[in-house]
Amino acid sequence: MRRALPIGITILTALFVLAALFFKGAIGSYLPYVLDLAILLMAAGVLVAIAFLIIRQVNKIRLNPAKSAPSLVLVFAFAVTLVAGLVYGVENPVYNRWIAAIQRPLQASLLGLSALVMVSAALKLFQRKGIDALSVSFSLSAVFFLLLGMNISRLVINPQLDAALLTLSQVPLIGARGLLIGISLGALLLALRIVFGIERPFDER
Amino acid sequence: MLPLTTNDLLALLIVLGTALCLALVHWLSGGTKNGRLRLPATAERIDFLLQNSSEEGKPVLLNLGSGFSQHPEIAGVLGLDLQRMLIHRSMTADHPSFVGSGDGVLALVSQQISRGLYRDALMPEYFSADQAGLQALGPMANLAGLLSMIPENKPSGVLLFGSFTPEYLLALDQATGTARLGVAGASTPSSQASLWLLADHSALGEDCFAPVSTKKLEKQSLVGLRAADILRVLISVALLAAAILKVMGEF
Repeated sequence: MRRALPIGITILTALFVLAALFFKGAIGSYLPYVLDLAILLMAAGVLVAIAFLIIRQVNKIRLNPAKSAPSLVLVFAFAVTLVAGLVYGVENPVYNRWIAAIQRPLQASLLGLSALVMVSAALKLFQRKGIDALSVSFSLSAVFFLLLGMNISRLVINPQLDAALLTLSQVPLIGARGLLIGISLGALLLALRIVFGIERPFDER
Repeated sequence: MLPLTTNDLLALLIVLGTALCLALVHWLSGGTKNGRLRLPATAERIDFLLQNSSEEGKPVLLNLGSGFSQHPEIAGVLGLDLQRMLIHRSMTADHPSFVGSGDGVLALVSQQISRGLYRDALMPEYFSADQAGLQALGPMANLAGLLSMIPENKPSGVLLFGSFTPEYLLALDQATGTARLGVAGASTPSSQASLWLLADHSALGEDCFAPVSTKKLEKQSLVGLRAADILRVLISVALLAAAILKVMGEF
């Protein structure tokens, strides 16, 4: 019974949401209530998880003060953000600008760094992966389609060749579509396995 | 009269067809023998990583990604099966493995799984909430947390399975200096492509939805893999038929 109840709730909720999405009408009008309940439960869950995170960081500071600089920054930043959010409200433009002024440069620097790492990883591809069909085809196609993307066809005077290059530039879209079909198939199968109770990712056994 | 558009009908048909295929495979498949089933390439690497970690006495870092609270998608739960496998293997190891995530709800589910596994193995005293917790909220903060976890724990391998953005290759880049292996499974083509550059093994396409090990194949994983194989053939036939009809001018 202890295990059957959550599985039963999962299956019933999933079937209800599916039915409400397809057969709108009378059932569909109840969908917002179910979704609101889910959002409420998730918000409560996030609060508990944040409490765990803060307790863990405070324990880290208590046990090893010498190596606790990142934990101190985290706890301090969290406390300041929480207090400011409670005092001014999360819709306050000054509060939002203040948060964005810290968050955006940090995210942008991570993005910039990842672009550099991506370039360096691409240059060291053969060293890391060896020379095989996948790495060779990946490199050649990346260079070829990069050149095509830079609109190199403008340099071509021959209209037939221009048309051929234009057709070739569609090839990555076909590949991406194939990958997306595969990913959707995997996602659909996993979702249905959960809906039918065959797969229980949340089960502790 | 139901207000279903053609697209709705097609989607319903695909969902019902897939459900029927899955149900048939589930009822007709006996036991857990994989036979001639094609396992994802990551399965062997995951085994190798887990084996290595127990031999070296080092932990494995598993990150479950950004979860499903902010962007509800099924890929959020991808790493939970892998976590179960990892905890089973590392229960008696010198160092426990660490599981992190960038979503509060996913972190709680992950913590519940770890706690349950330790309790069922009659060693609840070895469980600590630090082993499976919230790293930070959001993809970038989770990445920043992971970047600090790698040098701190010196793991034998880093596993990324779930919902990730391409920037997570920074974590794999850092792992190349300390860890021996990085295995990744992300649910978007752009993330799969970028993580493939630096991961020792990366699951491509639908393989990311099957984070299995070759050693212990659960029946539910086999059912999913078998149904995927059948559906792959059906989709290919349908696409071919549609292309022929298009060329013939039927559509």
